[in-house]
Amino acid sequence: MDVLVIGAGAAGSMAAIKASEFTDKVLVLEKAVLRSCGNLAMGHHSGELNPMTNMPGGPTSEQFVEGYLSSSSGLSGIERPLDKYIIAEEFPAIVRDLEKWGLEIYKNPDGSYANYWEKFIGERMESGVEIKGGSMKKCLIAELGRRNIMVVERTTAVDLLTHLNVVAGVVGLNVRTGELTAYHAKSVIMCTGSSSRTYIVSPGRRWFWMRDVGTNSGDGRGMCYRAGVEMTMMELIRTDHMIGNTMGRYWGGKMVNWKGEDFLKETYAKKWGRLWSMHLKTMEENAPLYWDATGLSDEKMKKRNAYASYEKHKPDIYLPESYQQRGLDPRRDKVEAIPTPIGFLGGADFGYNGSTSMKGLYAAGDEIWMDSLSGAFVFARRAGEAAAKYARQAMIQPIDSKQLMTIEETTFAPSKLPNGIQPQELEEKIRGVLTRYGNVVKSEGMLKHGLRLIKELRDRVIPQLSAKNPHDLMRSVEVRNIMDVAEMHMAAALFRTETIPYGRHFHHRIDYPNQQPGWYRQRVVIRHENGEMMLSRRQTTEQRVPTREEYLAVKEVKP
Amino acid sequence: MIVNVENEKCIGCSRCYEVCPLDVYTWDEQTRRPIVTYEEECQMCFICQEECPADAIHIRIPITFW
Repeated sequence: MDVLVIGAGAAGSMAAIKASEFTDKVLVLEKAVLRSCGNLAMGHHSGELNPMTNMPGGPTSEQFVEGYLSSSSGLSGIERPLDKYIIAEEFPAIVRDLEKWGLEIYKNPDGSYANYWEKFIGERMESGVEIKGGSMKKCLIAELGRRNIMVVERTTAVDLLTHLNVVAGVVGLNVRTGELTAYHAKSVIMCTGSSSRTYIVSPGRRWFWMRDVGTNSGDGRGMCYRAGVEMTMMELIRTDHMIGNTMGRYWGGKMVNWKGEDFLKETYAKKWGRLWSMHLKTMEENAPLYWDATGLSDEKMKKRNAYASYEKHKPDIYLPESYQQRGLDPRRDKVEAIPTPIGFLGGADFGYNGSTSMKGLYAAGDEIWMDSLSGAFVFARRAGEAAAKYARQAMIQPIDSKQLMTIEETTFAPSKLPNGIQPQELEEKIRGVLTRYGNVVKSEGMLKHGLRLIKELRDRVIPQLSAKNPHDLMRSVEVRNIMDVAEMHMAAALFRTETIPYGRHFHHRIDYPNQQPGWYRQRVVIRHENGEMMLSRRQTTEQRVPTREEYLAVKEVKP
Repeated sequence: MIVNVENEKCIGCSRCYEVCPLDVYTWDEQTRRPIVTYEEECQMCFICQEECPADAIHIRIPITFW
């Protein structure tokens, strides 16, 4: 293969589609199946697409990035503003492509966008178009089909094959048959999504209950880390509000404290991140917090319902189902919104073309710190182009048979122990450790203890893992990734001795309650070297709006 | 039960077994019916319920999540 894509979600699909314009040797591995993989299938499509920049009346790329930097994110000190500039420049063209592939956008009879909007959110100017969100997943599947891009379903990537720090392929496990296959490739694009299976968000045994799709076990992060790829921003926690123990896929209405006060005004005034503010409000005994949609206009309610659609093949049905089964009426009932950790922002450190520190290895989507559909699409498209161009000029690397054998032994070891510890039990324990010792409020003592527990589990439980069938083997593969991600998060959080209350993702150390000038523009970099986790700092770019020249210098996607 | 399959309504098309992202179902080839094998791994994404052509699947949200 020229280009091997791991994961067929939003980023993986887009990367594969773009790569197919340069080579017909593109293959996608998907742990689940196309119909139901990735966050889009869980209904994480939005009724709107933004930013639609550089359109009449709307913000320019400069204004978009300026708005971004003048809001909470600009104060975090760890941004790379050119990422946002690239998104602003390149996303609208992708939307037009998606439309050609079948995305349904609300249009006027003359072909112009019917509901183009631009507005200020806090101090941030944004703009977008309204779409039928459910058609997003469908249009990507259709386009993959039209281009005859092969997707190998029910196959999880286990580990990267490498040769002298150059990628040589990936080993994949069929989760239904238990068959292990080495996929030889010139380039690999990691698109395995977020690391969602990291905390226990609700009581009881339902530990697959989470915001993102449950297959997201941080596989890409685990594979990259073990292969020695540089990882960054792993200390930043991702949180979201779960509404009535469902995900907050909810637009319109307002967030209020238990007295009914709209505290987000204070948030915008202080430029805190919204989720930081919710977390703080919980600590300040303002909890419970509610989403209050009782005052929504008919028009807004209609929009909200379209967003959480009932329509067949528009899979975002969870919210209406939840309301219906509980006998709730959003017009009458305020619903509790619980700020909940859902994973981590960071991942492989990447360049503007999606390249990582390993030659031939690229990454896109929630795998890296994109955290938006626009970011996933823009950088997946860049990674697809860069990987394909790289493959055109690169030699295929030899497969190291010793490496392959080690991967095979590690993968199948749990099959040889019929009466050991089930991977599901270990996963529950690791997530329990993170929930107690590495949750949103962190301290040195708790993090150190959490790291000790992870080490103990690694040394004592991994050799005792047991798998009776391919399904459990898949869970064993996943739990190693969950463990690596948990360790990276706690180690990076321990290393970063400050608190960042800004941006969509925050870092809170009660023993270092303020932002520290010494950490400004510093990112934590993690690397696995000779079996040890190495931590260091790296300076990120200046926190200002990039110039046109800076964009033009990276506009052309190079291998 | 969270995942409820009505075997009388089920037409044996195996769509649920094919689409479940978390591999909750296994398939009984003899009876041509799904078996809910890993119910505790169900995310309640409702995709099987949505895709079932015979309307034979009902996902009940457990009260622990109310």
